[in-house]
Amino acid sequence: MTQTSVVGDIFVIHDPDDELVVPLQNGATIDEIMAYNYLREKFGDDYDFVTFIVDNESGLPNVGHGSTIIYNDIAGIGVTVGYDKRFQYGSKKLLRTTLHSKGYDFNEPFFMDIRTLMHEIGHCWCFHICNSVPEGSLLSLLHEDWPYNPTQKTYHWGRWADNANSCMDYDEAEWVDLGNEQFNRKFYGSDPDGGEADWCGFCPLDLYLMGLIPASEVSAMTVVRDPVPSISDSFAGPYKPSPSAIHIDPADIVANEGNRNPGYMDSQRVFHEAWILITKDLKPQNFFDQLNIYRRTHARHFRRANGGRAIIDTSLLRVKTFSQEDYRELYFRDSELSGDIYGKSSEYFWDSPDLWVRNSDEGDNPTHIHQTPIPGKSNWIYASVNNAGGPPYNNVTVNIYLANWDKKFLPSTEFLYPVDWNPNGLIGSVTNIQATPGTVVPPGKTIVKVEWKADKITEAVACSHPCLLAEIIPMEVEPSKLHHVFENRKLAQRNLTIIDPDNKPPGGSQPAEPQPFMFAYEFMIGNRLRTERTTQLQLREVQGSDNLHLFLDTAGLVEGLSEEAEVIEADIPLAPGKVPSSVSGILGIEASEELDAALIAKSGDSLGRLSGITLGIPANTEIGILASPKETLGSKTLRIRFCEDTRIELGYRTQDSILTKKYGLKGLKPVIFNGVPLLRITDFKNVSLNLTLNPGQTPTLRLIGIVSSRKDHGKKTVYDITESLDGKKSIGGLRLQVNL
Amino acid sequence: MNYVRDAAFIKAMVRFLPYDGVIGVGFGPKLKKGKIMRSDAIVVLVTKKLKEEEVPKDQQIPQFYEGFPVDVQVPTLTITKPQEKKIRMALETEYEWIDWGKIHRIHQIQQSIAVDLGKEPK
Repeated sequence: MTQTSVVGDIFVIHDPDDELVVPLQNGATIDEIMAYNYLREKFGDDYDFVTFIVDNESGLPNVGHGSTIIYNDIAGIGVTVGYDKRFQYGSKKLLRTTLHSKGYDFNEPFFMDIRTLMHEIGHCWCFHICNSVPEGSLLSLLHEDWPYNPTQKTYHWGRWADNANSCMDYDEAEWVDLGNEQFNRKFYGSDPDGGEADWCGFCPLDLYLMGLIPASEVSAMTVVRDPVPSISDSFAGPYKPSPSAIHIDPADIVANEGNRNPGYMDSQRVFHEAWILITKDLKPQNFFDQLNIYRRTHARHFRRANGGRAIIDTSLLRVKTFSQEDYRELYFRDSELSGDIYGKSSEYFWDSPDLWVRNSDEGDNPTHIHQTPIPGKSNWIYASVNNAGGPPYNNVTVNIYLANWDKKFLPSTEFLYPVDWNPNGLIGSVTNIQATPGTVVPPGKTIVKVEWKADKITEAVACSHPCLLAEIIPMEVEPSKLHHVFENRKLAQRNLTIIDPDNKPPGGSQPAEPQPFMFAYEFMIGNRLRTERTTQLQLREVQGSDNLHLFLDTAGLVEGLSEEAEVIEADIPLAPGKVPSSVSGILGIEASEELDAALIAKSGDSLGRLSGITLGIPANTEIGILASPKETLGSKTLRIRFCEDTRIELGYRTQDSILTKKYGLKGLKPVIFNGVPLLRITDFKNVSLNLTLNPGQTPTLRLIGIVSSRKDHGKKTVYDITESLDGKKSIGGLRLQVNL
Repeated sequence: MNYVRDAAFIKAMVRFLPYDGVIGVGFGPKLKKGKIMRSDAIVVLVTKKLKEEEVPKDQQIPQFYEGFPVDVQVPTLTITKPQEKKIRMALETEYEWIDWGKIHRIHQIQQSIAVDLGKEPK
């Protein structure tokens, strides 16, 4: 009698009487539809992939490894569009099923190897291209040579192509170009411990087919055709292609298959995979402990192998229809002040109250106030998982990341999931969380913490105040394409930078009296995946002070700024090419009347340029004033001398300045401060400007702040910097807090 | 995209999958004695190859279909012997085009026959 159970996130079918076994003339296999129905009855139909692990050691058939297409609607990957067998499973979601035998394999210390798991999932997109081109044609070389089972040739890379670390071949090797038409061959498949798992992944052409990068990021494929001597795993090289290596232009592949559709901006990025163990035995707990570790390792490697561009969640998704638990009721809030009942807010989503830093381990009951990380010691990142469901939810994982790991962890406005929740920025994970039950109001709260180790908090990291990103696993099923934090309950971001002159690193000295200071806060705008060109940058004052003066350095994105600028000078460490920055990000300055005078903004907007011509007048130019044209210049002629280079405008006042018209400046006034072109913030209630970015451009801007008086010492000022594409709905934001 | 092949493949699925013993229809190489003769064939996967006279006339599979050669193959779904060769992927089985709905129906028929024979249904 077949029985089912759940251990961790493994769905177990105990089949002592071979109920699922289908004898065939050439062996036997498993009725995977019957097995899937058992899963669907308990855990629904929200899975893109279902992996069946058949315990052949318990006496079930040895089904080897394999996978089957269930559905395809992707054009340009060599698979028939419209192929659809979902109805057989009663599914609306399945893409592919995979079968793996447990324990049959040579060399493997435990289950099947990680590479093979990734390989079978990879068949969803790879490597079916050019599988019906004529033998011997240029594109057919991608599948050459093929000394293995010939039925598998058209779904895999051959040995000749340099497909780097792709797991979508059989040879587990890569070519190393030595120059002079010679190549070495690095073979990874001999590692008995499955160590190649860390090496194998997806090559750029694989990633294109998966819908994760554009074709323009795929370089020409080198094919080491007919190498001499013949390929051997025990011979590293050199090999010489005969007569020469061939380079296949990816454009030829795209021309043969057509463009991938959907492209990388609209492709699926979030996948769900269920694991089903079918066994005749009753297994001990440590068996399942290992299998659950294996499951999580598989998910981690898939994410690593595609560079964090897509994720697979291997959780079983408990929903109220089938159980008391409901993964959809686990969430992070975006805001305490606005949003829906789950605290999700498209108005304020960059400063989640459920994610914060404490400078020391405060146990399970930490102070719920975000602190600036302190370098040189461990800090702790806390997250609060909300559960609006009645019963506790088990096996929850929280992963915490620093954003922009490849850009010195600079804070930035817009983040897209899953790309920016990149495994290279992973600070830590908490697994096996039991989320405390609750109701919609109030939800249960489970606080977890991750140690942010000292060696990962350099002073630069601490001072740049990197954005914190978090995710809850199980992940939402939708949205499954690139999306923002406010579209997904399982995501949180904390983009809060605190500028605090009194918060010195350990060992730093504190002046007796609070001293005026200035700072330069660097932040990025744009996103590497953004294609829209125009963005509106806004600054909102949440809590301000007359003693804080802010200037925006637009990194050259506002052209012609100096032509309309008011010139101001003050004795502060600001000069062209020397915008201040220090280890602490804060510089003390001297108070002076000159500085106070410079910081008083002249009322009104910029005067703008006059509509006529501009004359440049070099220094020492003199204009003599004569009573009539008949007079000649002499020593008694009244003269006007221009002691400095200057310019004069002739024309009429227009309603708006050219800059105001071109960039939609509001609340901003151009200044040249100590020779540095900046935009002074003159109206904190309404600050915005329109900027044009190239696709993928992520420029670094600066907000320069000057606190000339510490009269408000102890007061906190708060500003939100946001980006929107249509001038209305924000797509990104960050918060700056300056402690006066 | 190979629209002609894809159209032929879809038609072949509709036509051949209902045949007894057919457990999958796909496309891939046409093989002869283990060697690839054509790369663009309609592949019909069967549980067992039969002689022509053993197959009902209305279920016979033609050599060509919609202009593509047809290759009838018995897929490897079960590994019967431990593999000595140290290439993990050599153990990949041929599931790509298996029609699990057909396997499921075969299984149901097997179970109903077992009931008819008075055996304990599995």
